[in-house]
Amino acid sequence: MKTITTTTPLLPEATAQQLAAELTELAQQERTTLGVADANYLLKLVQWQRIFAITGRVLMLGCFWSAWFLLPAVLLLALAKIIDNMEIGHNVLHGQYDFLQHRYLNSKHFEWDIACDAKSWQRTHNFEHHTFTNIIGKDRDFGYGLLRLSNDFRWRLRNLWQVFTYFMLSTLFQWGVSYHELAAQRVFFGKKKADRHTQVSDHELKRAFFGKGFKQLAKDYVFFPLLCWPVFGWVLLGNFLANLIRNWWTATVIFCGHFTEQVYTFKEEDCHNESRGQWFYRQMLGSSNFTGPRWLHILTGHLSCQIEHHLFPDLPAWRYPALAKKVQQIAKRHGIPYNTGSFAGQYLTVLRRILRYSLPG
Amino acid sequence: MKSVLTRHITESMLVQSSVRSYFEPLVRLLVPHYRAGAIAAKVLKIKKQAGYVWLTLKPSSGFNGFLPGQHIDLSCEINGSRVQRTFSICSSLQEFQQNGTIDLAIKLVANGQLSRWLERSVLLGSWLYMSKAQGEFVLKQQKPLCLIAAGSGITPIRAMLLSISRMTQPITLIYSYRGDGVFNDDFRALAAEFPLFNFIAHDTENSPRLSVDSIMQHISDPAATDFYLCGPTPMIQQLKPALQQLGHRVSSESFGGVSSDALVQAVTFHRESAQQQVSGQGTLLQLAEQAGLNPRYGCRRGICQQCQCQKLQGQVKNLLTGELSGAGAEPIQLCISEAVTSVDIRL
Ligand code: FES
Repeated sequence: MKTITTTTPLLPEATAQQLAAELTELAQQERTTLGVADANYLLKLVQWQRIFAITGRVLMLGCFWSAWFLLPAVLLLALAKIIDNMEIGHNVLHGQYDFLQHRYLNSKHFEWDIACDAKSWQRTHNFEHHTFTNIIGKDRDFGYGLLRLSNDFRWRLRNLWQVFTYFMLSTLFQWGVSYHELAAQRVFFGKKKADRHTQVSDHELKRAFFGKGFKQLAKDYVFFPLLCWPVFGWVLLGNFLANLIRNWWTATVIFCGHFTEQVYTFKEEDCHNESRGQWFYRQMLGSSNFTGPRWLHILTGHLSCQIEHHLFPDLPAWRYPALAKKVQQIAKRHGIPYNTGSFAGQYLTVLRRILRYSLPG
Repeated sequence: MKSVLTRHITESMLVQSSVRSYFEPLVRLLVPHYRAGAIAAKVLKIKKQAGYVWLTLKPSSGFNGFLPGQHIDLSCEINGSRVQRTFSICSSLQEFQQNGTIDLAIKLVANGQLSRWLERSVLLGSWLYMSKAQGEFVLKQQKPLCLIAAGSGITPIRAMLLSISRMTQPITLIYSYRGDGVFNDDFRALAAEFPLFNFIAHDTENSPRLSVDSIMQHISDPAATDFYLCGPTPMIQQLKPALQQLGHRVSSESFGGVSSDALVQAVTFHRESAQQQVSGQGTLLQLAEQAGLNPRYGCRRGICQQCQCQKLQGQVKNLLTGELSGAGAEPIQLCISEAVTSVDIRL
């Protein structure tokens, strides 16, 4: 078994500055090319998403004649949800397309087909996760407070069965994401942390959590089934399966982005007043990519280019594969590890990491 | 009540704030110019004249008319991005009733993103997008009136005057411009038609700026006269209080921020209906905090977009990239923006 990297290599400040200059230059160049291509890409994406969603829902009616209709229907609906959450939702909510000044596809107004309230996700994900990536104790995305994925955490008995916990987390992923901020703020359980900066009251958090969750449940398990009354049960089942597929898929993709074996973690005290270059460096060490055909990139919301996403979270994601080549060259020039591999290969190392840290030591 | 319910249902069923925005992408496959939440308008005529681009637009059926003096938000898609500015309608009501068209006279501004694009790239027969007509700057009473316009402030006043079919009260128009009075012919024709209409063209190239005294010289019955002012902010700030002090009723509309070379710019934060003006050095986030406004923020270094707000007008500099923004409405990140001109921000 490969050894899992534990000590994070340091980058001399001079190199960090150069790194920052080169990456900033790269982003600037890319920014000058933003324009109608992005608008058209986004439009096409949303058109396909609508077509998949509507066809999927309509096909479910076919269960009136044959249960076989359920299969394509579920796949299409799951596909629509995945595109909505990943390539549209995740990226629009990052503000990647805000320069288009689109009336509703922008980071202020977009809402996605998932249990998590978009605003709550933006606070934890865009702010916490992207600012403090892989800093133990500050980026709660690292292990989600459930899994032990590095030696920075003390081993506990419950880590023994964390493969099972991981499976459950994937299965209920949308609820995990939606509960994420409430867990951090100790809304229901635990003692408040004194140093947490928050601008949203517990009351608002609860309202958003229950409000959005309720709407989603009502849609998939009450409204649409009732609307298709004679096949009520089939529609209910179909929606459930579509959500399940989406949950597994998104969880898998996200785990491949930060929990592969070669990903590094950081200590809070090392990141105080870090320079822009060191921040870039941390993003590169804290993320991992995987390769694959174009459709795979799209279905992952281009989180397959997690490194580029973390370096340039506000550039339209479909541009990442092209940027990746240049970033990889820059990394090579400065001797910075660049973690990439096949989807299956990367996922295997995720599983290994989860298993490895189930045991103490 | 009903609308709240429908909104809730749309929000849960379609995960969209409106049914239109759910279906818009698909409708655009058939009707490419369709946009949810906007009125598409076809460009029927383009005329370039004396520093103005003159557009004749035919709004689609969603547009339900206007009161002369009102303005619309016009948005154009420039290289895929929506750029929006506000313009007064300058054509008459009759023209809209007869042909279903409205005219906009858009002044060319040196670095004006939208006006320059209109000058260079807008095509006959293409589609622009507009809002419904809005604004309170409309003629109200049957009293002697004095209308004062400066620069492109003439556009709403032109619409008001050309829409009058029977003039029953004395109206004086004082139009202050520099060099070429683009609309003078229209007003001279009007003066020939209506004896009660008095037109004074005031070219600032060879005469001093307007003052209350010079205005009063042109008015026969000052005590009974109401005033309508439209022009750049500094002019309104100068004339309006002076006229009000003399006991006149004054309606006004102003446009444009005051741009200056001073390092410290006035920043106005709008929140709901309240406004607060601050000036000082630092990022807009720091200024808002100094003003005790508690804006939302996260990383404070341009990563997370938590501090994103809508800039209503004015230019800012992005401290990360050094880029200057446009002058119109657009989202900006408070934590990495510094005011370059006076700026209005909605929190
Ligand atoms: S506070 Fe994070 S982008 Fe401004």
